Amino acid sequence: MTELLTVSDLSVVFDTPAGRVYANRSINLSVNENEAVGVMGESGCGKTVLFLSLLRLQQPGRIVRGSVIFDGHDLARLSASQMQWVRGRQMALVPQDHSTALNPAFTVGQQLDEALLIRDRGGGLWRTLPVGRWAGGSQARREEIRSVLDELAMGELVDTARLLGRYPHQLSGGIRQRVLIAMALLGRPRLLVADEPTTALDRASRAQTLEVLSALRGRMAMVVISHDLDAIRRTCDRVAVMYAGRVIETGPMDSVFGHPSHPYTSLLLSCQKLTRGQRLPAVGGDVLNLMDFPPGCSFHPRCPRAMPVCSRLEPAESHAGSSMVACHLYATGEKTC
Amino acid sequence: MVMRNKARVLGLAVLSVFVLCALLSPCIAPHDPWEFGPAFLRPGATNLLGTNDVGQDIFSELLYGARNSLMVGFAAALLSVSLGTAVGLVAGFRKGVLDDLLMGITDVFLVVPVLPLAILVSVYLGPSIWNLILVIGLLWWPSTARVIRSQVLSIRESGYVESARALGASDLWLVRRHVLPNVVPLVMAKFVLAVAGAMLMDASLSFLGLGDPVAKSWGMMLRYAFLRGGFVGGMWWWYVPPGLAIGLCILSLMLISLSIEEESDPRLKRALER
Amino acid sequence: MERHQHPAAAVASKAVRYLIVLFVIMSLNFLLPRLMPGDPVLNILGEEAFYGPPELLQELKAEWGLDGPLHEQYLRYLGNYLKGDWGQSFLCMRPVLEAISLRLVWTLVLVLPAIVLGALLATAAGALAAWHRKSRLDIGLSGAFLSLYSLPHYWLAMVMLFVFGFLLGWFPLGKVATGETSGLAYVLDVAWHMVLPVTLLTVSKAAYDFLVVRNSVISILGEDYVLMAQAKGLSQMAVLFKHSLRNALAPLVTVTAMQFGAVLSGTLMVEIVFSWPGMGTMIYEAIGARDYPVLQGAFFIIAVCMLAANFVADMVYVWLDPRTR
Repeated sequence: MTELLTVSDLSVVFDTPAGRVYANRSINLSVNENEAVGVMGESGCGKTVLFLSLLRLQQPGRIVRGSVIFDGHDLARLSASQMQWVRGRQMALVPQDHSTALNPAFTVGQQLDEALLIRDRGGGLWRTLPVGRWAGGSQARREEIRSVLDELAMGELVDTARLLGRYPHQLSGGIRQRVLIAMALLGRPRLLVADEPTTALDRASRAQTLEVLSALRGRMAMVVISHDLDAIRRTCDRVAVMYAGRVIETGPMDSVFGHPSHPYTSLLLSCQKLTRGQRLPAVGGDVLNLMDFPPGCSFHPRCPRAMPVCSRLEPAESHAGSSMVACHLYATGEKTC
Repeated sequence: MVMRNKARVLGLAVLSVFVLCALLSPCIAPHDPWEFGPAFLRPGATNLLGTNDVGQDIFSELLYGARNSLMVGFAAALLSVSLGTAVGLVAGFRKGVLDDLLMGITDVFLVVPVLPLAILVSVYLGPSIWNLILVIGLLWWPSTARVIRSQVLSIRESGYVESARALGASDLWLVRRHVLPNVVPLVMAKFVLAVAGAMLMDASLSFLGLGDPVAKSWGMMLRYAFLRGGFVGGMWWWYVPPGLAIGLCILSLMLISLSIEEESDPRLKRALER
Repeated sequence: MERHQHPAAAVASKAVRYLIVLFVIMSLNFLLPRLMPGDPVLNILGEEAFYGPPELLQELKAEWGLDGPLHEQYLRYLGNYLKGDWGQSFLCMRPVLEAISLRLVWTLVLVLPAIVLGALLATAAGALAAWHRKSRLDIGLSGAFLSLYSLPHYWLAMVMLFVFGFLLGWFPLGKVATGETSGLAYVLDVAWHMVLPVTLLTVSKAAYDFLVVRNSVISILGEDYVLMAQAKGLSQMAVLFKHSLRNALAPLVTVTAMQFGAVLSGTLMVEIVFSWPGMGTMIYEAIGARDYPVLQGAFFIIAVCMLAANFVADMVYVWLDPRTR
């Protein structure tokens, strides 16, 4: 499998009046063609920041180290106008909050049409007008939009013709989420990044969205960012686990979910298989302050299997079976426990 | 954040200069501005800015003018903001018929064109400083009232007021303890803006001849410069300084007010910090 | 928008509110001469009639019902007002409405282009300043517009006229047209005379609107849909002028309407400096002559214009913001 996206040693920082925030530190991640990679971790671990930074949309955060090789180009070094070409057409984002991601002043049809216009004509101001009524879109473009919506099985839920004339605030969350996916797909991107696609949805919409994502699996490269373990399980081939801005474990989904290597991953996964009356597993200690790291491994204060070396030295990535782990337990290449 | 404080400091500094001029004008003015003399003199050693049509020293007029213009501005603003705050507090706190009535009156005043009405009333009342203060003050209160009322309403609906009321707090106590402290920054910002607005309106009304013809104010200076040949005669030293003075005062007031506003409006603050 | 009303009901309630205001103003015009210092008869009929032959005075008094009880006077007054009879100007002895109408046209000739151009200028400048917030461009523009807002309009008019008319001689020194011309030549001549005052009014109006647009766009730029528009691959210009501005338009319209009164008042003062034959110069003369009927009529007409502007703005706002439908 050829690598489509290779993130090497990427660090993203925010300079705030209160100090420098290290949102991502030495990230190593790769996504192959037609592969679905899940990115897991608790809130605040830097998942969203990472991918917004790849698209260079994370102001005022900036990339201070590392490279982002996408299809042969280093995204971290591209100019603003070159990045504009990458966004939407090479790498597309499906954002987290469906209620605020669509412009309330334009209809769904206009915003979907805009995605097509950007793909065909570039993102310039004059090229992506007309802003006018939906009927202004050309026949061919309308057909294409309808076909994408049908592919996402939207035709079963709503009348697609009427949907296009609606404003975002008139639609339900599940529909909006799928509109956002459609909008991303219309750009025919090489890589689709879905940021928390199920988090803001109710159960029914969640199930439908997961169906859609699963259907896309294998047909294009995908990244699914989520803290919904079930969503990742159903849609991804490989998984990366993040903690405090670092990737601490990556590997095939079955390996990671079946035999988690890193202690944090184990704790995260143990929340799944709860039985009635069982105590809720909790990780002790406080959430990490991204400005002020403890020395050594950033998880060690909360780690049930911490060793003396963990408080001194930051672990490098090493193999553990078919996964890569950043943990001293595997530092010599063998499992020691 | 630094920008905000810089703006405020600059504004306060410039304004203080003018206030000092106003207070100390009898001491620093080289001549008595009411004293007649040779007319239409160009700027020179004895008369820094020349003389006007009746030979009065323009520079001294400028200094004395600060008193009048600033005083009218502050007094009118005080009147309008006090009235507006009182109305806003009452309307916001005691909802119901009183609120509707007051807001009805406020809405009417808000839509009425202020300058033409001020002109009309001033013509009836006759030219004098007190009439100016009265007219401007009485016509400006609605915008303050509206804003204060919304603030009071949102405070009133907030949790801690409800709980205090449930514990038996009286209205007066609630107003004093909870509402007023939260309303004060808004009142300050509005007051500063009101002074600016009042000064501009005073300048306009004086220019039209509705102020005291004998008193020295910047608006009056501009009027005479225009009427008595200063403008057509190209005597820019007569009309440029008073206009600049007004502009600088208003600018400093605006800077101060903007910095207060930025501090107290959480939405704007959040967006600005992104 | 606090409540979701049916659009027609919202329109109707707004219209009713404005009509009430007009009614209040009419009543105010009725009460003022009677409440203000001086003899009401003198205030209403003017010095010439007051000190003139007694028969004329009696006749005028009868016509205006000034010798009857107050409520009768009020009704007669309202009737007259609605018929368009607003009294006679003391100065030129013509019916007030007639005297005002022509002047109003000339004032609107200045005001309307200024409002449109001012809004456009403010929108473009405000959007750019918001995008490049805290940069030198932003600080420069903000400072410039703030200063323009602080300086009295009529003073700026004097300075402009002095520099561009007197010193440089590029533009005429006042009035509407020079010499007797007609047809296209006349129109061009008027246009040439309009340049300075309209420029001044445009820039003054833009000064306030700029601040509003800038703040509005700044808070919009923090919204998620702006980030999303960028993520789709739109250019900076497209994100700013298509997505952000579209949402900033509605507040701008509201502000423009609220400001109509201020723009109109500013125009009055500026007209005096430019000797422009509009309502401003008329009011100026009326002040000097204590021509109350004209002043009251002008007040009323300006109020009508303002209310009309507010009404139009309310309609446009609903059309612009789909969420209110």
